[in-house]
Amino acid sequence: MTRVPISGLRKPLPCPRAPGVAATGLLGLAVVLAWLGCAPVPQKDREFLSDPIMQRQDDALESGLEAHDFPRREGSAGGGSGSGGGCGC
Amino acid sequence: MLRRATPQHRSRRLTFARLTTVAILAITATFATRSAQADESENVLNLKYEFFRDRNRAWNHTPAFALRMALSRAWRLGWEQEFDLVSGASRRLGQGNVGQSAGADAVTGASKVETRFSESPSLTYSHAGTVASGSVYISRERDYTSVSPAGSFAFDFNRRNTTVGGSYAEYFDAFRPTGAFKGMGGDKRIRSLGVEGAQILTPLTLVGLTANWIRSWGYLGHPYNPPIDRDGALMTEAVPDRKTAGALAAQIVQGYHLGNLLGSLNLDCRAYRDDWDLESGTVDLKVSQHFSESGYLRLRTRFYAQSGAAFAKDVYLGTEPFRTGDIRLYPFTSILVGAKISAAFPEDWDDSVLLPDRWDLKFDYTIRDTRGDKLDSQPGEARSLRYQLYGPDEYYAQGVIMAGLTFNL
Repeated sequence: MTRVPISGLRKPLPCPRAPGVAATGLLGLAVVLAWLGCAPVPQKDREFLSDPIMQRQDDALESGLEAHDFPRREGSAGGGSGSGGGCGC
Repeated sequence: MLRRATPQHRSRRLTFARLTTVAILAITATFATRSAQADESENVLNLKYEFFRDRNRAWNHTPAFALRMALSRAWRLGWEQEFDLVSGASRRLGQGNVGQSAGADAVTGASKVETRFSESPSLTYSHAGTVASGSVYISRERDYTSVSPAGSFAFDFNRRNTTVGGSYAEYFDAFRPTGAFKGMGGDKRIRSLGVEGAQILTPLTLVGLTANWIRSWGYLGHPYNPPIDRDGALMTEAVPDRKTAGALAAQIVQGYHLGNLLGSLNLDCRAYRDDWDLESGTVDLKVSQHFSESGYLRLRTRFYAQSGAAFAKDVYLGTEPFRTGDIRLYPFTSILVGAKISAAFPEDWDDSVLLPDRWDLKFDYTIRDTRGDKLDSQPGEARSLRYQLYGPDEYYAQGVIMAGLTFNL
């Protein structure tokens, strides 16, 4: 494989990706600020947090199928984990 | 992906499928006695059937299952299995009907229907707020294999309001094209590291941050996507042999009550960048609402946008050190809208393990901005039309429907 530095090549084509990147930054900042200012929630007050709709992730099998199959179907390079595990074709 | 399987290949696949089935049954039988010591709800079988169809009439049938069994109060065994039956796997986005009328794909000579098998056994230790897990992911196609050992850990503190964790995975992939592209593949390694934190803020609020670092090296190309020069001639793809990427994600889950019924908003944002100069942003919003104690409806929308790799061009001269026709390395946006409904079966079904306890049904529809490329053409310059693309004003669209059953064993 030829090893040529990528720097200096033509810049990427324009793309309206800013909303997603900006939203990540703003939400990340809000998360950190909220994190710093919060007090522990006692165990007895956490019943709603165990509900399926309050989980950060869907069930593992559904999430796994989407993580593997959706990026190749969508044709994206940065939307999934960026990992391997299949041809993607 | 490639040519029709020979009898030897079919026999090998059947043998593997049989071995897999025997292994699952053996594991189930071995641990059945011990798992009885644990809480029954810890033993769960989850079945899914996914059907995908796109505008090009390419389809996927994907049955899958996940089995989770408690070995003791602390140890849990898991097994995920996926079968992927794909039509027109090598047919490109935007090129309708290629490969539909013939026995093989018009571009690559690949078979019209391809199968992929993957499984992932795992072992998890969970005790007093500490969770550690190890797994191996194995995936096989005719022209591609992947083996990935992975591990993760997480622990709670701050009266179990705070969770921090890390994950590691190493992929050993081998791409071995046959047919017209034989000899153009190679081995690929991917190393993925992740750190994660989650915090309970209120009885109805949960937030999380995730950072990932991914390094890939080896053969990172995709020979089935040859670039085309301005005269329409195919060129050999050439991409760098290493890539480093990073991603940062932030998430908030906010619950609320509508009358006595719980609902939630789940906002997940993610930014990605790699040293091929490809950047992307994702905003994923889910709104879930219980309509009964055990049933809920979830609506989802996701917006995704990415830039192109630095070397991705619409028109190649043929002298560039790197060139690709892989549509995944070009800029686009996509929007997904979807709905999911999930509910429990009547409680008197619980007496038998042969009857499911829950069901769910999901539909996602995605529109991808895959319009014809004219971004790079200069006045008077011949336009190179990559065969992945639709015409200037058309879009690619796809739909996925997934049905699931959950058994508490």
